[in-house]
Amino acid sequence: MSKKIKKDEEVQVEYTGRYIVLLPEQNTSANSVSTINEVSGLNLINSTEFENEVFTSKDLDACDGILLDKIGVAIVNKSVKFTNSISVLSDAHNMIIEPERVVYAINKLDEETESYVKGYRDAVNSLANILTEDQDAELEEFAETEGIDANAVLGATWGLKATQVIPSSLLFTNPYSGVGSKVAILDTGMDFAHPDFAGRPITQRSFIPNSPTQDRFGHGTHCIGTACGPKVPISPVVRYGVAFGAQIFAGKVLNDAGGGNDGQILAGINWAFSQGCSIISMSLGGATAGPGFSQIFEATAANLLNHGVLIVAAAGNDSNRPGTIRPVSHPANCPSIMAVGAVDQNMNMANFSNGGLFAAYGAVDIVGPGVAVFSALSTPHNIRMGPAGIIHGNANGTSMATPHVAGIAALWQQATGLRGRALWNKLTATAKPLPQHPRRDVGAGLVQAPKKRRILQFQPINRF
Amino acid sequence: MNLQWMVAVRPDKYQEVLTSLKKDKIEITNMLDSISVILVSTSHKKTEKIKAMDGVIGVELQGDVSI
Repeated sequence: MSKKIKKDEEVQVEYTGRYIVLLPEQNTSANSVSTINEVSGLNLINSTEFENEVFTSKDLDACDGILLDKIGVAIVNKSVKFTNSISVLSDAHNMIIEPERVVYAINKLDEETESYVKGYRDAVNSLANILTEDQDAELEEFAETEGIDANAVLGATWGLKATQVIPSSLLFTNPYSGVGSKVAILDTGMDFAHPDFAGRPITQRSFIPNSPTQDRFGHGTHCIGTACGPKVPISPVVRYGVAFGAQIFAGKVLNDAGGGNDGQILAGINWAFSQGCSIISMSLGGATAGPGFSQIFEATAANLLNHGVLIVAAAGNDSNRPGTIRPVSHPANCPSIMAVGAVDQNMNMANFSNGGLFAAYGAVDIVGPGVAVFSALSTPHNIRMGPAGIIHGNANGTSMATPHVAGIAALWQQATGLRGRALWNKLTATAKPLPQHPRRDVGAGLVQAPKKRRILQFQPINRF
Repeated sequence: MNLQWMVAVRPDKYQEVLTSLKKDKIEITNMLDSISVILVSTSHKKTEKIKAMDGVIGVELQGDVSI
């Protein structure tokens, strides 16, 4: 099928009858082709089966379709089988499917057609470059063409990138900020003078006698920074906050040395629930004296889950891997509290991260970034978190992984309206599996943020 | 010797248990109405009586937590 276009003829979008399928980046091309073949009953072949990967339209006509492995694109011939499969492949398998617009005969080209085909070739080359270039380069180019502040797009912590708060592919965008969600962080309080939070309404309460909610330790500010820090920090640093649109509830349940007790934690949970918070983040824990878990915390968490409130808590940092793995700490070991373990930038287990050692309870449910996590520090009393005057810095711990999950839960809540148990299920169902680690250590895998497929705007090629 | 305890209560029995604790002159240190938990300061011996109250889910000693 070919068509020659005269110079003065108005350009009309023409379709060849074939489809172009952009395969999801997270899967290998081979896996995606297997999916297409299974769903549609077709039999696509790989372009590598042709000498020098060069094939003709006759080759294409002779089969169901061909995979262009290097750019993750498949060209599929029109058939009833495939047409009936488009919605499944698109919705359930994240494939972008579009009708192929034009195809010209590649032999005996006249001058006009040759010019057009070269333009087509250049466009495909350009697309291939976009899809295969380094991620930061993609984003930099996108930011420039869209007139977006490059710092806002480019500069983000490894944790935000790994969890897809900043999507790794240009084909996706994350339009969610957690707006509408009330997120309580029960910790050592909050530095209300931190410039990155200037003007941000923060509801606060201290449950430590004779101690204001002002964070004089640093741990709480760091956790709040990760869960709900700004999209664009005032200071010239990378983005470190997940749910920048969420409403912050800072509950001080740990004293200025980072310690507290169960009663203070429960008082904080009670306050957060009464304030209408739907997500409670607790980067804290206590030793597990033996088998079992607290019936008090379990009853409380189960009741709150039924009322649409999700509690996430740190799995604990008592391990010294690979030699010693300690069980999940209290209260994260309660079945109705989501226990969060920690991984590093290379998806290795953090050596300190506790594991789910018991079959019936105390599981690690999910993991988040917990090594070299950059976030806000309190000023001026950085007793443990860093020297005075420094308002950002790195920290390690399942404490740092936990607010990643809390912030991402807020994004999912905005995206889906889910709460409580349903929100829990969404977080675990969408987590990125880490099959290199036992489920005991990582649960469902690395928490992942919701994202939306970007609508690509194809520009007509100027052929003349 | 008095210790610090947590008492989880069925929400529909919360007021009833609260009344019983006051009647038995058990020191209540915090009433967490929203989550139906009552914090008390009392002896280990008296917790047996609390556990026997209708609507009490559990009684546990408060522990320490930290970052």
